[in-house]
Amino acid sequence: MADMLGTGLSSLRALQRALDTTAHNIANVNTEGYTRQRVDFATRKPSVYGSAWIGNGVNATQVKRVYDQFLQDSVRSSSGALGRLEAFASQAERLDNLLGDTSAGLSASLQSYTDAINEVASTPTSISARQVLLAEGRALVDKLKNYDARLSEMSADVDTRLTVEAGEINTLATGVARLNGEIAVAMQRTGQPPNDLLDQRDQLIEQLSAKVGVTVVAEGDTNVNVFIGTGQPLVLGTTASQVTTVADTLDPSRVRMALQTPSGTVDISRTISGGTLGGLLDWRSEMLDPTRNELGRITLAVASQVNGVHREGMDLTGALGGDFFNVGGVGVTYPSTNTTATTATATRTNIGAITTSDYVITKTATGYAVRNQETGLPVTFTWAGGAADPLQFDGLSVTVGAGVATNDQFVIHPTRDAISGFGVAITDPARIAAAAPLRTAAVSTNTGTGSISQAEVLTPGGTTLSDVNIVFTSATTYTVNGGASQTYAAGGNIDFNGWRLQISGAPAGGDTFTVRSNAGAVGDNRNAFALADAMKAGTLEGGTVSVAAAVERMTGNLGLQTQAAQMSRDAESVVHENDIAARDSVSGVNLDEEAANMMRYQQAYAAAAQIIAISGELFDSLLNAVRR
Amino acid sequence: MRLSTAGFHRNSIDAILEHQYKLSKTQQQITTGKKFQSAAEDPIGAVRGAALDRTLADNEQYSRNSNIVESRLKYEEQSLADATALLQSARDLALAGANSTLGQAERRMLANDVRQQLSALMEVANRDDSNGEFLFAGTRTATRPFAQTSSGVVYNGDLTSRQIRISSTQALADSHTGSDVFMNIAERNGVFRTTNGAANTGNGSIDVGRVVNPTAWVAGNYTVQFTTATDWQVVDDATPTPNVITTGTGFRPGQSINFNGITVTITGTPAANDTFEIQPAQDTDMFAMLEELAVTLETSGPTAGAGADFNNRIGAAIANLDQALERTVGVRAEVGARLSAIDQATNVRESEAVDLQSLLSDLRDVDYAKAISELNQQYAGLQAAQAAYTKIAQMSLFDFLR
Repeated sequence: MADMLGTGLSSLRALQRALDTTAHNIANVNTEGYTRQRVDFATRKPSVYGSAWIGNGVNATQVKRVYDQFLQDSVRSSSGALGRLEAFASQAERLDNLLGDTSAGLSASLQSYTDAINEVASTPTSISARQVLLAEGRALVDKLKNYDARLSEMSADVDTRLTVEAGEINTLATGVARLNGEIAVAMQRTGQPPNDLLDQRDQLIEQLSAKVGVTVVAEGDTNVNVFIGTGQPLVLGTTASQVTTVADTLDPSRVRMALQTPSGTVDISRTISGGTLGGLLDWRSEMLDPTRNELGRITLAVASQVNGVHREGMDLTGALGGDFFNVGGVGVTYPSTNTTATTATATRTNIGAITTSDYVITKTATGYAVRNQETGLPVTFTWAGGAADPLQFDGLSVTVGAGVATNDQFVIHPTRDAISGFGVAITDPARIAAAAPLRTAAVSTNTGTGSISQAEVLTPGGTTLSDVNIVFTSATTYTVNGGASQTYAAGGNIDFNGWRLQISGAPAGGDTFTVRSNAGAVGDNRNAFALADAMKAGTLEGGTVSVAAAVERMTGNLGLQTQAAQMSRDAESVVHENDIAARDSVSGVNLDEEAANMMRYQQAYAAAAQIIAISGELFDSLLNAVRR
Repeated sequence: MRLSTAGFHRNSIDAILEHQYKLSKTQQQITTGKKFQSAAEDPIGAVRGAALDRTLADNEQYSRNSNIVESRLKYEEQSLADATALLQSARDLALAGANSTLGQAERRMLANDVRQQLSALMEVANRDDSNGEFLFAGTRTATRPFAQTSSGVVYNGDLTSRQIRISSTQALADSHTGSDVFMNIAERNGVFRTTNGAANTGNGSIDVGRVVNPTAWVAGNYTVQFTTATDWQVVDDATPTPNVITTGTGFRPGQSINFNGITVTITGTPAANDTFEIQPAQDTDMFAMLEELAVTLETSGPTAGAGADFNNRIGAAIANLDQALERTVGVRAEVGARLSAIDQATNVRESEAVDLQSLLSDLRDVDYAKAISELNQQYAGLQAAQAAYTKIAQMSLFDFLR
């Protein structure tokens, strides 16, 4: 039965809901992930009076979220992409700040060292110039070691971050699972969606997506399932799996990501992508590891180039030069999955062919397989087939010890450890080999026109410095230290005692040429001169790239990668902002709008209250009419 | 389109932050004077800049090297000038000593003077540079290069000269070895030596001779034999029967004898059976030359009964000194050529440095006019954004709710 009081009361109640909802909207204007709510009004069932239907007022049927699933999904996916790019770019910037300063970075240290060699070349007798060279050598070592330490700190930072992120992912995943349960209960109780819980769940999934790329699949009305990687379940209904970090079997010094599911632990390092986690892992494999290896390769190039020439020379004490730099060997690590404790020894055979990659050698039933650890692609190698025969590939020679079992693996790091063992081998400035070790001369009483070249060292460190006389027994034959007679060819190589020289012109019979130890030639700079030239010569990439150029190239590459990462991040951040703006334009609270709603509902409420008052007055009129 | 209140605030603040970031970038450019601070801001420019830096640093090193070579060459140049003066004055003494009016006592005084020059020349040859390195020791720069022994002066240095790089393509020796300067000088006229026969009875004396036709000269030992006081023949040293190269009759003092492309002149009057020997020249050194001259002046003279021998020896001494002077002139010319090569390399290097600097500046240095105008623009932009935000954010419908 329709009556004015009932209608007025229904209106008051419904408008109260509306005002409550407006107040809730205003209260949550700054709540992240909040979706504005709206009250749906509907007329009550009308009553019939004779032939007319009289309305019975209003009901607040439902409080709805103003929500668009498509827009919410866009925000989530762009937040995942942005999370990855932000992590990548900020880490890239760290690397660029460390190595990208061209005026004070590695280039400058290398230049100072080269300058110091030049200084010794122009004043070989000056002990102070030699001391400067040792000091600059040590400064170069310190710089490279410092960089290496910082890079390995960054790598350790990534491990720490991975552990922290895993913890946060677990918290978020647990939250999603719990909300799945609560939402189901709430739906069951009222049949109406619990808006604020749905908001919270969307918010948690969005945060999850910023940490790691996820796939979200709705199941029925209430549940959402969350998958990571290539479909590994993170949240299934009300159960959440745990993401953990486990030690890398191939490289115990770093961790990998794993997912503990009810059916066991799954390695997800290779499959996860997107989000902060994906960004960190990508950055480590795309920038950090190659940079560390490149620094190691540069170290190797400097050491081998300098040592090679230095060992050809003679120092102030008259002794042959030794190594100028010490350098670390090839690193070999053994996966914990190996069934035997077989070791492998690896050496570098050709610095020019060394790459910045790491390798995994696997023992197969019949031989070995070698693959590139980064790319996973097989590497061609030569192996004579015997147990003690070395495997040779990419400038390396690896000998596997006895007792190796099938499926045992060896991880070879050709360059990574070079820096840890890097150091200046010389402490005494007099031991810098600036001089050539031998001097040659034509005896002054020679009557022919033969001339002798300087002696070139063939086997660095293995040259004998004893006196040698080359005597021409006739114009066409000669003997070396009284040995067998040999036929003279003008300009032909004469090799002896680990050195090589040439005699040209027309020597006469009886002419003598002498080769003597150059001890005492303190002013000789021939070897220092060669050292200075060697620093400019191509060493890397098959002898085409000099050390200084390699450093510049590395810096430039880091700069390019960082720049690209920054540009992608900036672009993605615009996309993400647009997505948020699009979602907010539908779901966000606008205070002016709420103010208008409030006025609207307030006025309606005042009118409804007036209905109550009028209906009271009407009732009074009736009472007064019948009061006699 | 609806705008959410939180979204409006976020967008406005984001825009203001973006303005601030750009402003701070420009400020950093202006304060550091550099277009970019790290390689990421301009990877290509950074790499090119580093390569230019390297070339400039190399240039600086070449410039230091040039100074070192130049200073050492100037020391050498001075020493060579001193040596030249000493040799010249020794030659003057030899000319004075050749004067037949001089007595033996005066000649001894001249000999003393020559010995003075000899010890002065030893001092020059053993000079060191500002670093205490001997100039003429080759690379054995800590070893005193020249030492007097019973058999003359010996050279203890080596035959290597230090090469120093003065440009990316050019390296120069910073000195000459003592052997190249003071030793191994062909004696007399540089081709052959002439001596009077030891058993000569006449007073004929052979001069140093000269080569007229170098291609006709056949190195070997030859003897001019006077079969009579006026008939002569030139024979070689073939055994057992020497070959006769040429013969002549009617010899008159001062007459030239020509054979095999050389000419020698015999002054005075040879007697029958007198001989004059012609042998290939041998290498000697400046110290031996002066010693020989001193001995000649001390021990004989035109009036001491061995006039012919004296004339021959004093003539040889003068010819030797001419050879030595020629050597010093040659070495000095090389030093001069090296010094001018350094000058040229320096000029090239300096103009290259100017080019590189301007390239580097284009690449890396901030264009202040541009940067400051940008700064002003960004400053105005930030101000406008802030003003707009505060103005719009103040407006709210709630202000009108009463």
